[in-house]
Amino acid sequence: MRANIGADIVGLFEACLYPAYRWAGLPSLARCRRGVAAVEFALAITPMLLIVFGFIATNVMFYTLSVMQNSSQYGTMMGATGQAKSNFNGLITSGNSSSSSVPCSSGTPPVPNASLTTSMVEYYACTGLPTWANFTVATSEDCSVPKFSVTISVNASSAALADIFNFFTSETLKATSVAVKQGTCP
Amino acid sequence: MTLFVALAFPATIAMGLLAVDAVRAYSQASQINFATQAAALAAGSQLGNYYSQGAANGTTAISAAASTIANANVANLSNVTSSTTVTLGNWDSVSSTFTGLAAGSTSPNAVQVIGSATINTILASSFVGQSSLTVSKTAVATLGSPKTFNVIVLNEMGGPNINQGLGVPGSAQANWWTQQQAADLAILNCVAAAGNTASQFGITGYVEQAYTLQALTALSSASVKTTIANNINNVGSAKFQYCRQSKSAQACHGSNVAAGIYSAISQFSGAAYASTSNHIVILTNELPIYDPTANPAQNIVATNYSLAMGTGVSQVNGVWTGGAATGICNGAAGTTTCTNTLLQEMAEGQAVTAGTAVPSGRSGITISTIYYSTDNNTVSPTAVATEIASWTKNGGLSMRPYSYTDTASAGGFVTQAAKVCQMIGATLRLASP
Repeated sequence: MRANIGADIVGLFEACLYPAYRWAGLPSLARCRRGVAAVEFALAITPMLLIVFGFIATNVMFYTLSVMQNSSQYGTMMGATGQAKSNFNGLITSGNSSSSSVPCSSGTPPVPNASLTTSMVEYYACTGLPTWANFTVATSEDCSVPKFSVTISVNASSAALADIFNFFTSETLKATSVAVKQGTCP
Repeated sequence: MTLFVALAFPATIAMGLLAVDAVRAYSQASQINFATQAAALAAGSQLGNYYSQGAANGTTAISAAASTIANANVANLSNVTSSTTVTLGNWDSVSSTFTGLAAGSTSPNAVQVIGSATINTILASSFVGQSSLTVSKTAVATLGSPKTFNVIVLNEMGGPNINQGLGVPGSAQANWWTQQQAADLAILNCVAAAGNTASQFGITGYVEQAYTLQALTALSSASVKTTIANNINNVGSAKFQYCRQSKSAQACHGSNVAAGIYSAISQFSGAAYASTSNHIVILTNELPIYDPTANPAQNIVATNYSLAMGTGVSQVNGVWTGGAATGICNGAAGTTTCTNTLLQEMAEGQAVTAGTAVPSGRSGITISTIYYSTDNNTVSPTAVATEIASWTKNGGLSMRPYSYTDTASAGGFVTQAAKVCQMIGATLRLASP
């Protein structure tokens, strides 16, 4: 395919552009049919790529969102059932009922947050997330209901992976799960 | 060729958008499924309200809990409208079927939540006549097998009226004590029936002081349970007899539930209870009462009481001062500054202390209350019930039987005592249809 396009471009130059410039002028160029496919391809490839990568990016983004939902559900149930008694700040108490913007990973490529331990809700919320983006976790316990919630956030563009046209740069993906707090609260 | 491209290109775009729409709908349906399950567990955790608040109010509370959690889970979903339908009923674990509560039935053990959502699709799906997608998910939360749990029952030993004590056998007051015995036995049987031989049962009595009637004991065998039942029936324990010896036994006066809660906290303070499921069930017929007509220090047989009146209860006017009781409601001879209100504040403070997870990592104690009489003439019964209900902690139930003499109906004292035990001892799980 690439060889044919190259031949078309060379043919276009030799058979149409150069004679038109050298001898015949624009009417000659208008009649020339050489390289039509190349021109059409050049015109079509940009929107085609836009569409193809747009579809890929959007689907990857929704896949990522789906995984984020699963992870937030996992973290929520660990916190709601009391199996994980701490958040990133320490033991969950009335004075430490929430955490925010806890990184699951950092850097490029993302490196997992080594500070997360199995006693923390964030550890479970960060489990299973894609490795191509940096996610953050927020946890909250509200004893007035009582309920426990986990929100995972990520920049939509980095989550989309194939967002080469930066469609989603300014967007944030969020997955929130909430479950009733069981047992002691806080 | 041009015609082909002209036709194929929009079709390709439409197919691509359809794929995006499908993935989006799948993702949102998955979240709606979780929202429904979380709502079912939330509703199930409130099932006790059906028994404590009555069918109508209880069902309202259960539905509200389900709706709150469901809505919180779909709040981030765009172009989605959702609703929940809550049905109380019974789960048959053998046939794995849920049956809605039949008319006249009064014992639901499960809650079914149907989460419905309409997902508005994006443009491409509209081209193929699918402008919206309706998703319906069903989840059932049911009370599962009883867990290992420990219960201390706090027995109000002061009798239906101030200074009456429990009444000598054969007297009118004796009937009240009989009912409380029956309630104790109902809870004992409930803990034993759970089948977990590590579960422990104990009884602490309280008047203006608290004393241990039955130390926490693991119901490891039928004989252990029988021994405790005999004690409750006054066969084997002088302590159970103490307040029945005479109406003039002035030690059996007043009502200091704070001392009872404090005693229970102390009994649960051992390392063995650090990670167990610990519960206090308060049986009472009145708000805390200080009786200044008798000097407790002069009337108490020391060997029968383990706690002085003010031991551990020094919260005054809602402010926890910590340390030992000082000068007020401390039971010392000549104390005249104690009041009913102060004892009530002490009860509130001790309930908070019991319900709080202390020390770090320790589970808080669940408190349930059963207010079984309306014979307090100084405060309206509703206000009494509200105050006593405020002592409940960590999802404990607040029951209000019609009367201690009502033993037969579902709302009766003994029946509700058993129901409280059943609810706090049950595990909640999602049923698997």
